[in-house]
Amino acid sequence: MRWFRFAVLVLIATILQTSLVGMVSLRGVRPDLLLILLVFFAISIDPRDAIVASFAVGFAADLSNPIRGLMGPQIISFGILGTLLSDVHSIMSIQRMAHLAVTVFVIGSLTALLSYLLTFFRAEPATAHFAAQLLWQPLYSAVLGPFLFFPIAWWMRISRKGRKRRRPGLW
Amino acid sequence: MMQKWTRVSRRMLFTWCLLGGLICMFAPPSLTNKLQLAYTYAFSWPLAAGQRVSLASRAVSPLGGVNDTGSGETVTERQRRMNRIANLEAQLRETRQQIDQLGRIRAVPQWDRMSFLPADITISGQTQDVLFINRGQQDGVAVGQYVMGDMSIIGTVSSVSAQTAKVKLITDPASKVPVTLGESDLARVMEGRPGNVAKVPFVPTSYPVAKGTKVYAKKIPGLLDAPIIAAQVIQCRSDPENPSLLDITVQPVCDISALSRVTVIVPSPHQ
Repeated sequence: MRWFRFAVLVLIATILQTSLVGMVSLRGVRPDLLLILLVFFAISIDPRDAIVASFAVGFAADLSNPIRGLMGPQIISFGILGTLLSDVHSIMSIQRMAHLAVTVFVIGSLTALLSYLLTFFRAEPATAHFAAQLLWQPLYSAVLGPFLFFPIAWWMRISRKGRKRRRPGLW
Repeated sequence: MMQKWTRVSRRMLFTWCLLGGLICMFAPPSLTNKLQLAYTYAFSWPLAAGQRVSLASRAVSPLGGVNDTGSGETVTERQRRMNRIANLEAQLRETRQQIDQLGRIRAVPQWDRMSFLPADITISGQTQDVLFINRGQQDGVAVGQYVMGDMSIIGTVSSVSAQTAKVKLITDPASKVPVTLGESDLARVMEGRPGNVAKVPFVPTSYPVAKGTKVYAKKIPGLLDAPIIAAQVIQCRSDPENPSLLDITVQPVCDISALSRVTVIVPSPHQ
């Protein structure tokens, strides 16, 4: 795993997410670049590295776009679901564009749901944007995500054939 | 080192990372705010530039095409000059906007006693409860100061670092702003609610409040020397839990999501 390239990529995605991504928003819904990165790394790199990468992407998400000003909900939700996806990918290959799109959508919805539930521990979550975060943002990301996997793979020098399947080893 | 790394089991690695996440989640907001402020400070330039480009792309139509007659070199030179003119026009426009903004503020006589500090928004939160600005302690910004956008109060400074500050908007559920309703002197506390709205509780039904009534941030000597409009009533009905009180829902009077620049009300140097 090339961690320096990873750090640069996450940093660029974080800055773009909070600034220029607004240019491609549709009715206020923006694609989530960090979600796309999460799915990419969960299915493309070693499961051990995928854990660290998932939590790091979650940290970047919380830093740049905190839900209700809190840090933590997205670190935990991205970390758990990234690790879970990495394990699922060990037993079930996700390679086709359609499958990738569905994966981005499902993981996006689940991270939004988990972040929403975790926010209850510290504050009252914002219900008004919940539908957009649960449905429309993952949907937009799912449409865009598979196409962004190619430049990300090129930058990370990762073969898009993906890692070999192996037995899950976390639990 | 590498061997140590690979020797750590995945379960242990996951547990450590999860623990880190939980620590972040339950850490005092003052600490996590500092992290967020450090991030906005470190990347204030690309964030502010991106925010401006993003907002401009919504409103400004593209520049007119270039007449491509003449030699290639002339066309290139002309394009360069046009770009320079466009850049100068943009600078002029921005300066005029600042002058206009400060001029409008100074046009209100009571506001002479307050000082206004223009600031750029570096990040606006997705849920629109908070935003970050590129002014901090070094500019005289302090926690509790009011922040204006489009000549109306939009929030208060909730945390501040040397060069950046976090603004809690009036719609943030944790926000509590003292207000007065309409022409009356009835003072209440406006509380933020999810969905870009706020509530003004404990208003008796005897008070003449209707849809469209203006809500003013209450005068607080030292912080706000004159009442300034903050919101407008969008719904007013009898409280189902207590029929003697009104259930008042208000909305900010400016479109906060479209703002790229705000003004912080700082204590006047004369005081």
